Formats: sequence, structure tokens, C-alpha cells
Amino acid sequence: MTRFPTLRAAVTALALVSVSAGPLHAQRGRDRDRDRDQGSLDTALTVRAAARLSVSNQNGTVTVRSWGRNQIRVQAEYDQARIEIDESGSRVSVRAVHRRGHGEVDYTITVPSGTAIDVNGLSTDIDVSGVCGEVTTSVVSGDITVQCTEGLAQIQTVSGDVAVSDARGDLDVGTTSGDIQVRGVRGRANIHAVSADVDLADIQGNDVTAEVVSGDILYVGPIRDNGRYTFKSHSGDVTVRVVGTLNATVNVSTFSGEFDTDYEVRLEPGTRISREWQFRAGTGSARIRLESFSGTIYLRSAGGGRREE
Amino acid sequence: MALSAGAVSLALLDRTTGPQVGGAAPAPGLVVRAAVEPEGYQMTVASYDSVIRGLEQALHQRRGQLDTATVGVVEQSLRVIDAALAQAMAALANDPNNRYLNSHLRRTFDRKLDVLRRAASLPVASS
Repeated sequence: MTRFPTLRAAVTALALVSVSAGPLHAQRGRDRDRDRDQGSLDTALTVRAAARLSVSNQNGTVTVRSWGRNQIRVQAEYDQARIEIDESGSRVSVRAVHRRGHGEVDYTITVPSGTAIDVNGLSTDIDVSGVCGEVTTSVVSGDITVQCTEGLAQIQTVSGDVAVSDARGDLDVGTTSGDIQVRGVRGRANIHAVSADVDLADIQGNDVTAEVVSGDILYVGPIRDNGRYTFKSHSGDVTVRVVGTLNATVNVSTFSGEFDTDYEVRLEPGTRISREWQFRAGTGSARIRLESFSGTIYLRSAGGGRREE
Repeated sequence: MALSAGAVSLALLDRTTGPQVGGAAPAPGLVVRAAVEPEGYQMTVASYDSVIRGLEQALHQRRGQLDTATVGVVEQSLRVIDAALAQAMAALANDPNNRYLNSHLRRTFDRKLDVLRRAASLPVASS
């Protein structure tokens, strides 16, 4: 375990970074001047391929970026906190131990491209950009921004906004309260929230689900043949603006809301007139399920020019 | 919390067992209750009841250990969900076999379970 509680340790680490062009190694197994709990840290550890980084932070920020070296560089500004770094094989764990619970740490961590990132915290804003590996985040309170992931990205927060872009694998997002914006997903997208407006665009995957209790859902993008699209809100509007051709079997359900569409709706034989509709557009190969208990459901052509009221 | 799903479900269950059967007069002092088959959605409510009550109790016990702002967010979210549940159950009372409403009720209960389970596992706030 490497502990960096002091300014002295930080200076040492900074010196290493500034003078060495080769591999940088953090100093391990040393505890220094534990009484000093405010300062900065800059150190780097050489890691094997397929590295994994785990960061735990109670209060502050975590910013993660990538570079072309096989090193994980940890820079931190800390106040009333001590930072512990564990290295085990290709796994590096960075943990902030806060003094009397009031400490704060702002991290900037640079990792090899493709590193799997796992960040958890209490009140922590997270920004992971350009790493393009697996990402798992779990915070109680904080905004989360993630740009470029491979494999599974799992984003969880109780309170905070979430923005994800360029997810090249599957994406799971869950928040209790906070808005969600997603741009560009190649795999499956699964979004759940209690109180949130959900804004989805440029989704290339063909399995998309967004469900909220209170809040609007907006999806702008293609409806892939044989794809599955499910958008459900209890009290908000559900809007789908289809980019390109629509070949889908569409199921619409509401209790006290309305359905408004650009597309020709020909009810299939046996469909009862109620607050539920099923109809086919084009070949009907994709399945779209749209539900809102009390909001308005819009199914629009993105090129149609009409906008929701 | 403004409205507990547990309280809602109990009220509904009480109603299903309320009516007494007619026919032959029961023996004095013997109350015979009808074997009324509860509506499907009431079964749904009952199936979630004990789990939700347990999690609500756990959250209540941990309340003092958690960050107050976070507890506020969780409780506000639970109020939103409870309002949605109440609306769904009121709609089902008039249309108990509505497939959409039954499915919607189950999903909303699932969302409440998610929130409660997540709240139960929240880390202790810094003191």
C-alpha cells in the first residue's frame, strides 16, 4: 500500500514525474507525516495491459483521462484527507480517507486507453472522458459525465445529472433524481429513473429501454429493423422522433393521456378502441412499445417538421 | 412519507375480505367471511407488501446515519412513486383486468423496490 498524506510525498512524486522519461513508480509502503492532511499529490504507477482502476472518494471530484503510456498517473488536491493507493497486478485502487468526515479530494487521473474504471463516492462529481474501457460508477450525490466506453458501462447515482456519449458497448443508467442525456450507443441501452427527463439521440443499438416515473422521455434516432424499443413514463410525455424509415409494430398504451403521430395508423383487426393501440408501419419488423399513464405520447418522423406541443 | 404502499395495500386487502355471505343464517356469534377472490392487482399489491414494509423499516432505522440531503431526495422520490402507485390502483379499481394498468402497477412497485434497496445500501454519511 502506498500512502501519500503529505506535501513531502507529493513533492517527491512531482519530481519523479518531471525528470523521468521512463517508467515511474510510486513509492510503496511508506507513511509520512500523517498529521499533514492538506496538499497535493502527483505520482504514477506502471501497469500491465488490461489495467483496472478503482477510485473511492467521499467528497470532491474525480476526473479521468487517457494517454498513450502504460502508466496510471494520479494527481490530487486534498484537504483534510489522506490518499491510499494499492497496486495489485493490473489493478490499482485509489482511496481517500477523510479526516472527521469533512475532507475533500479532487482527483485528476490519467490512465492507459482501455482501462476499466470503477468510481464510487458519496458526494462526488465524476468525469471520465476518452478512456474507452468499461466504466462503473456509483455515487450518492453528484453529476456524472462519461465519454467513450467499451464493453459494459454501468452508471448509478441517487441524485445527479448523467451525460453519456459514445458508448460503444452496452449501457445501463439508473438515477433516482436527475436528468439523463445519452448520445451515441452502439450496444443495448437500458435507462431507469424515478424523477428525470431522459434525452436519447444517435442510438445505433437495436435494444433500447427508457423508463421513468416522473419526467419526459425524448428519443431521436433510427428504428432498426428487428429492434426492440421500449419507452415508458408514468406522468411525463414520451416522444419518439424517427430518423429514416419506420418498419415497426407499434404498441401504445395510456390511461388518461393522448397519442399523437405523423404516421398512418391502421388498427389491426380485432384491436379494440380504447386507450391502447397496436398498428404496423412498413414491414413491422421492429417492436416499439410506448406508454404513458397520463402524459402525451408522440411518434413523429424526424424529417416531418412537426414539433410536440 | 406521504403515502405508504404498505398502508395502501392493507386498505385494499381489508376491502376484499369485507362482505359476508348470504344463504343459511350463521350460528349466532359466528361471523362468516366470503372466500372472495381478490382482484389480480390486489394480489400484486399483497405480493410486494411485506418486502416493501421491511425495506421501509430498514430505511427508517438508518435515517439518522444517512446524509440528510440524500434522505430528502430518496423520500421525495418515494412520494413520487407512491403517488403513481395510488393513481394506478385507483385506475385499476375501475378496470381491474386492464393489462396495461396491471403491468404498469408491477413495474412501479419494482421501481419502488429499487429505490428502497438502494437506500438501504447507502453508505453512512460523514459525521
